Amino acid sequence: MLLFSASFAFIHGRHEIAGGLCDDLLTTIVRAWDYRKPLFVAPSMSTCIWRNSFTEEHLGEIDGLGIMLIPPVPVNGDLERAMVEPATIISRVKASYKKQKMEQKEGSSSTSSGQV
Amino acid sequence: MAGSEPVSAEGESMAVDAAPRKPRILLAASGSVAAVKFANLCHCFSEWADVRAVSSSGSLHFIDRASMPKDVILYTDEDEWSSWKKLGDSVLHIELRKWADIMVIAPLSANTLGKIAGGLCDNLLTCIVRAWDYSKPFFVAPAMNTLMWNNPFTERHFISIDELGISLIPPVTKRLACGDYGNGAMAEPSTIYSTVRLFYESKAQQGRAVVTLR
Repeated sequence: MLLFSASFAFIHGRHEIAGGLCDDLLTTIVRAWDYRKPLFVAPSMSTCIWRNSFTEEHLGEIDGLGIMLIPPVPVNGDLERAMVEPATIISRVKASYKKQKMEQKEGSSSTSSGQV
Repeated sequence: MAGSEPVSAEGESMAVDAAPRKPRILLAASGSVAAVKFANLCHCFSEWADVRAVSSSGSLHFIDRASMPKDVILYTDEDEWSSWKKLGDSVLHIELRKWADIMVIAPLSANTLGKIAGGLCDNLLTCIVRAWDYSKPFFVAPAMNTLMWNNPFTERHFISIDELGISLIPPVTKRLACGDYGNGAMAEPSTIYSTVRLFYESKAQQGRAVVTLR
């Protein structure tokens, strides 16, 4: 499970990920990622950039890959979109992991009980 | 090895009909470990064609300049900037684009593939591609880890560059530099050379046939 929650880097990074570029360690890992495994992003940027049409386009691209978005929250009179608190990210990732484990258990139990 | 020698491409089209010249091949390497074979590739081509070489900054980690053919100039990003001093000076990526009959990128890394597919041009190599005349042949020989080769981005990017008219020389399955076994290794220099030469010579024959028919 990869958690990508760099703040300022996300403005440029989301474009690199959406475009499939890989010119540093982080984006090279993403470029080689197996999308059957969860990948989360927690962006942080100014509201102007967040509302820019490119952001929507890039988020659409990464959503299409199966990357899960943990949306930023408005702060500073909606001038900025801040990364959510680490505790929120942790609980979101934990919840997703538990859900995945449950689904795997259900899948294996239905197979073992003779259901196809 | 600076590109101090001027790259004159214009004004030679008249001479082409008079005396057939060697094909001009622009070989380029991007930042993949397969660039260790780049000097070998240049040697393969230099027997048959006039060769100029372009290297990205990443590829320089792997290219042994000492083993490059003596008659092949290796251009780098540094040359792009140092060759231009004032308005009116020639621009290296444009001159190389005009000079070449064929372009070959071998190895093509996953990152450079992404840049080409997105139309980005932030170094000498990608600026040449961005200015390329797609009526001229263009080949790429990708090299990347199997996990990257199998990643959904690869297919997307190849669809984009295929639409431009770029020809793929597919990678091969073997033990990779990282130790993994799988698809993604660059085709052998001899395969790249024979693919390009066969293509060029078949096109030349077609051209001669058309002239004869007239």
